[in-house]
Amino acid sequence: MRPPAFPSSRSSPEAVDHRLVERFLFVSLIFALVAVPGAVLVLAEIDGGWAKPTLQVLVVINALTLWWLWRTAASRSVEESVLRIMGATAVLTFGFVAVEPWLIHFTPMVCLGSLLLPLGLVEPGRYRRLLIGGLVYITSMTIFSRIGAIRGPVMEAAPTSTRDLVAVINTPILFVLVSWILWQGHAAIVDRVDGIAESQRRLVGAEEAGRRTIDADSADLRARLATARGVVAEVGQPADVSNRVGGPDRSDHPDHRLAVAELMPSIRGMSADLRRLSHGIMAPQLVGAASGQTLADLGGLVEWPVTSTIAADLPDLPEVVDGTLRICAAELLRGLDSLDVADAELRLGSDADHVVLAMTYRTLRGSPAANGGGRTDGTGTAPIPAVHTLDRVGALGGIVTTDHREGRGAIEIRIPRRPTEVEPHALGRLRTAADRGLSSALLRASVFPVVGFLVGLATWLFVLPYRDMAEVVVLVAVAYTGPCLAAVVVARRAPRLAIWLFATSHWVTALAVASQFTIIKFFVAAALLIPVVAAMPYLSRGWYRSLVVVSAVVAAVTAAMTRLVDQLEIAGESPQTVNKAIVIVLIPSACAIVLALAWRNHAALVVRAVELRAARRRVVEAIERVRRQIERDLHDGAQQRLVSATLRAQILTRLEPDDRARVEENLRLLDEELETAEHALSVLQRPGDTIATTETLVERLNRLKATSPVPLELHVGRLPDRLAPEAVAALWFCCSEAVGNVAKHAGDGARATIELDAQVGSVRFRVVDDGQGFDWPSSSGRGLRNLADRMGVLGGSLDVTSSAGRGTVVAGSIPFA
Amino acid sequence: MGADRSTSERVGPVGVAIVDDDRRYGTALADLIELSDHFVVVGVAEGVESGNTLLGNQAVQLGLVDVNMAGGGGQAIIRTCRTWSERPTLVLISAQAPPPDVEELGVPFIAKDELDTQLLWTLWRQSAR
Repeated sequence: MRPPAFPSSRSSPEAVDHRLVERFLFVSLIFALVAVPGAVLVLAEIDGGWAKPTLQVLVVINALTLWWLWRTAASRSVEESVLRIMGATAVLTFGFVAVEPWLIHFTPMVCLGSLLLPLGLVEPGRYRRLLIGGLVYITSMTIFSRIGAIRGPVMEAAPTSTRDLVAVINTPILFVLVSWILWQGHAAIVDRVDGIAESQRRLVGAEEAGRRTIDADSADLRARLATARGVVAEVGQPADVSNRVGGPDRSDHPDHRLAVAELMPSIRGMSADLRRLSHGIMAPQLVGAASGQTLADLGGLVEWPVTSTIAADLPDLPEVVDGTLRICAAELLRGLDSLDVADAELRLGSDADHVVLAMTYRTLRGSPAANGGGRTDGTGTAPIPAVHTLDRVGALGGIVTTDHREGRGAIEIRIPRRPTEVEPHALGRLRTAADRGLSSALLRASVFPVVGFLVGLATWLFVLPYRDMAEVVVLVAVAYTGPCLAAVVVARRAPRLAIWLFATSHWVTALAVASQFTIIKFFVAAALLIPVVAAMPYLSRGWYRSLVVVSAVVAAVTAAMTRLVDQLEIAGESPQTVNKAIVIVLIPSACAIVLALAWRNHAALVVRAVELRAARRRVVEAIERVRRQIERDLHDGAQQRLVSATLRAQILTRLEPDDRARVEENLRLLDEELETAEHALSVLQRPGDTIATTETLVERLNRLKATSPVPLELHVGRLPDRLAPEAVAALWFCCSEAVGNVAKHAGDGARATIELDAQVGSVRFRVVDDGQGFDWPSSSGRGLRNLADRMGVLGGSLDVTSSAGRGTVVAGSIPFA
Repeated sequence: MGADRSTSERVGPVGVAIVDDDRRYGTALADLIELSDHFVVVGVAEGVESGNTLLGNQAVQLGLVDVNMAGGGGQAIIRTCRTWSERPTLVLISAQAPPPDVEELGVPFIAKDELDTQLLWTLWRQSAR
């Protein structure tokens, strides 16, 4: 027996978020536990007075706090856990820095880790406040640490070798921790965005498969109708009287009643099949205005008994919610049909915010291989056959909860009563942040070397005895800025090259700087984080892993170099004011860059997810409209004609053969009904359905050119021999719709041109007209959005350029393997 | 509470009204019913408003009302008829599944492709009892 085709808990983004927090705390705890004996050993060698036992206590408190947070994370919401982690980080880092100011070289990195953790997990406005608050905190902590001695009581007493050892161990560990958080954040971006896109593809794929079934069923019914019409035509023919003198008379007509009576079951069968087809397209209505209704009709979908109830106070629901519930209920029942189900119960109700469809079932013997329970909003990546239930519900912001156990199971669907979705254009500041491209991000990230350059310049100008050191800083800053600016220039055309150029300049510079100075431990680590954060939205998992690993290795090497290479001891040789100024300026500025990039990533993630969700919602609504239209067409067309045909056939079975005029009239009317039904079904079949190759696409475009209501030119370049049928269909759909738009909206005398060509890896098209244009993108037309969504689902794109009086260009591309 | 016209003593065939916005179906159904000795077609209406007018005719004892029509469909007609002091027996017909509120409306439902005069006669006799 197969298990039910419903999701497991793997596909819940909520669960993924919890795991991320738990993993972070677990990894941090491991680091902290490693740090405890290390710190005890280091501190044992040092005479730090009062600070020594205080630090030891803080190390233990730190480990215990992490352990407590980790143990209690599962029982809290993700946001609550994240906020607790941040609070604990703030208190503990401040405690460490207060006791030992030298630790300012490490504590900002810990703060960065906790600030990067909620990327994509908390509401954007709150995340922005957290980032700003975090930056203010880091800046305050840095200034506070520089008010007194640079080293503090413990490190003041420690030998240089001990300080270096602490730096060599802590810097790479903290860098790896923060990199790991970024790696997880990258996974969140990729998984969430890919998950929604995949959900959209599944929906469209399932709808396409459904349409093919409709087409196949329609073709089958048309063939049966043609056969029935043949029978009717035969019945209407007079008997063979060619050898009779005087030609046929009334008695020459055979008795039509037997033939028509034999035809009746066929017509009734076709009518029943058409009703089933109609129900397959749009399940019977669940929700009406009156109370006390039942879902009994759904029980007809399966052989086993289904009891059902609808709550009396169920509110009126939007069409898309109503349709989704109908489709989900039918799909769930059909899904359960593969099990040995004894019976099932359906309940439809609501609470303040949601409409709830709950289904419980019992199996005849034992249980299916239960796959446990879970929640999903349709963004999961697990293979999910119950596409409509999962993806449609997810698209409306709903949740599906499943619980399959021994011999029984339960499924619950919760959909918001009024699904609302933040539209991409309503995202405001978030949109602005997300729209900044890679070049803008890299340019902003290059501020760090510029700050370094200015600090070096200031040192050179005002602290003359350290002129040599300042010259080195200036040279490094210039060498650093050059490749960064080159990366900015190439970012638009070759983002991956730009990222590697940018990262390489950071790695080389970090190694160069680390070979000269000891004070820059934190700055080097922070600088190495910048390309890792900047690259997040642009690299695939594989490339991103390479970037993170190389950066971590460079961070470890730079930390080790503080012990291996003879360096300039700025702290020991330069005036305290210079050292303090360097730390106070560079630590917050480095953190500011990292956090600004993190905010941008967060915005990009949220905006992308909102865009995809909105697109998926539109796909669902478009499917809904098409389904309802097909259902209406079937009902008003073929189905009505078949039931009329049934009546005409009944009439014929009751008419005497001698009543020739009425028999012939009813035979004519019967044939007319069957013919109209056949025609209605032929109209139902999609015109683009037969377009599966580039040849048929070009042929169809040439036909469009011949029949177009507007003068149409066609320029077709070289096209790939093989193109996915859905890509061909999408190209036809877009071109024909765009030409249709010209005919409808471009005004009198408008002319259009279609250009179709293949370039590297993609087929491109442009539909250009010289009509009156329109105010794009403020126009709220649904058609162009549908075109864009259709291209987006296939990995393509669509751009519209238009303004009043200047014509319109609809251009798109679609990739091919 | 009004009374069904079916309960009053009548002689001769039952007067039937058909309300369906599909003219061809309405005509075919009228032709079929006319073949039966039990029924006589009083009229065929193609909408909710004209249907209400037709059903108000005293000669109509049985009304066959389509579910899906503009203006609220057969359900709207049934709700209007409920307010009358004397009303015909009503039957909902549709080419699709019964509407979810059919039980609440308290009227019989017949799928259009299953409609025949024998079934109608049986139903009429049951309602007349």
